[in-house]
Amino acid sequence: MSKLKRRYVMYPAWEYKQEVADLNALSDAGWQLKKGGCFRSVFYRDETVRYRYALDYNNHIDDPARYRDTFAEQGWEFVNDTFNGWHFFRKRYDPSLPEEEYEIYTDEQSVQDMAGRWSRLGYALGAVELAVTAVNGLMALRHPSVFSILVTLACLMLGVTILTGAWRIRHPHVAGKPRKSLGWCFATVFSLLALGLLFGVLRYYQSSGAEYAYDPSAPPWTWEMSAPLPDFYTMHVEADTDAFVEITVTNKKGEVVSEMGGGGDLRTKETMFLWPGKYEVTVQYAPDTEPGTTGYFRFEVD
Amino acid sequence: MGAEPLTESYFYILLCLYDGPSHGYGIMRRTLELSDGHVHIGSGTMYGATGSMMKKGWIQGLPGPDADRRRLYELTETGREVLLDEADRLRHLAAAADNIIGGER
Repeated sequence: MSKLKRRYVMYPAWEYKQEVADLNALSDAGWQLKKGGCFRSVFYRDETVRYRYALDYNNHIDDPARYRDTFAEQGWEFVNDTFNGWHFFRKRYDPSLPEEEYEIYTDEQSVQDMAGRWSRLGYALGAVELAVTAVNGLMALRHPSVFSILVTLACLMLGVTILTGAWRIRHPHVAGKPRKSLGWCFATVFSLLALGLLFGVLRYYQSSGAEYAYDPSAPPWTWEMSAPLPDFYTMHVEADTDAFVEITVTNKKGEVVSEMGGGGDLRTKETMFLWPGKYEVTVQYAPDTEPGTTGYFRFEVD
Repeated sequence: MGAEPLTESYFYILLCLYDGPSHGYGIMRRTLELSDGHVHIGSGTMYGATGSMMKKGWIQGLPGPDADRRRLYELTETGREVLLDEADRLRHLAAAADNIIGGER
């Protein structure tokens, strides 16, 4: 069994020429492609041959046999294809042959046709991604959280990157060489999503409530809640009382983080940014309240 | 306004089939020969161009001989007309250029 090497690299579609150049360089170094993939490629060791690779994007091949035969006729050996329409081919390298022998698209029209097939998909994906960004953005405005902000940023970055890529693949002469920052862009998007997911998972729902009668000699009703992460938290308050009440949220140092108040059938919510730690929610009746006045309070924090 | 000019690849494919059916590799070799090595038709270009011309009805596919898996392509009457029209257009262009530039090079 020959030695295998797995390589985990993701090339954006518009950097397919860079992928081909890297596969050629690996072949020259004795690593031959066994199976190409969008995220993972497998190579085997063979220093006795050198190949030149070609990558074709065609997600709608109307005659697969004719497609493979057309490549085989010119000495291209099919390696494998991917689920999303990329096809890997290789040809034994002969230094005496001109470079055109290793090109599968040899006129501007067919290069544009191939680029057009991917860019149509890219524009559609980018538009969907921007629509998802808009929905996430609205949700982040309505219910702010680090999770929703990070996911919105990641979606926006991904959408802009895909749309830029769809344009770049169609305009390689204007777009110039691939920018290394695109790789960083993907890394940033995935980091944002991972971090957002972590924040989303570590948040938890907390609630409390009581039916409470005003007694001037007794301490006010309190509830201790906690903030597991630095994040935006929304407190939903539902109360039914005949008197005016003041609700305060204080941190361990006794500093007031949030204040709200009202009477009667009270339904309100307050969004606040909290650092990790314990917080005390206090319900205090107004001083002129008749002793014995009762009220019902319920708090939900998410 | 007439039909759009053909790309070099389309033109050479039709031209190579003028004398009779041929397969992709034969078309590629003959094109290199006819263009003095200037026009090479790669496999991706060949597949796309032949597929597009079959859809337009300019060429048609024929099964290759039994021992040979390679598919043959044949010019249709429509394809022949397209080729002749393009040759006329190119002759006209060359004549116009000759009138002005003559044999400067």
